[in-house]
Amino acid sequence: MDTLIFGGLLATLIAMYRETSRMVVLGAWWVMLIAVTLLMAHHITGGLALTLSW
Amino acid sequence: MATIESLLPESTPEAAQPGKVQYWFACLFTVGWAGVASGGLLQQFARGEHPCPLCVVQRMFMLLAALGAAYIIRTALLRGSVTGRHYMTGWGLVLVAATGGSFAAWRQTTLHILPGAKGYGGEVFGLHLYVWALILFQVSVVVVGILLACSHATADRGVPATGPGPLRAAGLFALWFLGLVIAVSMVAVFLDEGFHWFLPDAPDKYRFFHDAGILD
Repeated sequence: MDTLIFGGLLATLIAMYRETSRMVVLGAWWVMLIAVTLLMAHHITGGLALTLSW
Repeated sequence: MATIESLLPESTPEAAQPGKVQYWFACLFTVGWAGVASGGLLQQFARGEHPCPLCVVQRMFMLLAALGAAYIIRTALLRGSVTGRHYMTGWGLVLVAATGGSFAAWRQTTLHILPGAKGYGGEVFGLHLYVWALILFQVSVVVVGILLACSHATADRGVPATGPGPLRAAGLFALWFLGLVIAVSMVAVFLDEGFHWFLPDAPDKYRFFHDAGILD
């Protein structure tokens, strides 16, 4: 998954470099953001509460 | 009798005008975040420290932030002008990515917050990489906020970067450097991950080489 996401980031940059339409470039960026966010959610397995007691 | 042509400036404005500050900063920002991500790669290759899954997620957010600034560069390179909407789109992408990266870095920081916890990986200038990431993501948000607040003086519409010159050279360098860092990151994480879907919690070897029987 990580490799695919980096590949997607590279593809997004290539789309930016070439004269690809703005919608495609921005669409690719948002798709990558969603993919990274889902990957992060997958790796956050515990709760977010710190429950520190000192 | 004055014609409309005589009222327009004949020479292109100097590249260093204050109105080009946001373009120049977009170049610096792109190179800067790509540089920070390459610092993580250096830590990986020079010190042999394998990045954990959340470290890799932070690298992705860094590169997404760099791509936000790259959007402004790209607009100038293709059109020779950057409208307010383009500046706002680029910096908006940066703010979203920096916020996501901040969250990932905060999460990893809190995993090692207990007194006596060693933390993950080595330290750079006394701080772990994820703490540096948290600081830099937050600094980015503040700097972009200041830049947007000063847009009247720093966001010229005319950015003549379609022809040869320092504006185009800086923009192309930023995009190519970013591309190089993304490509190296992709190869590095592939070697770490191999043909598995996810990285293990605490990677200690290059799984591609291990699975291929090249290394133990």
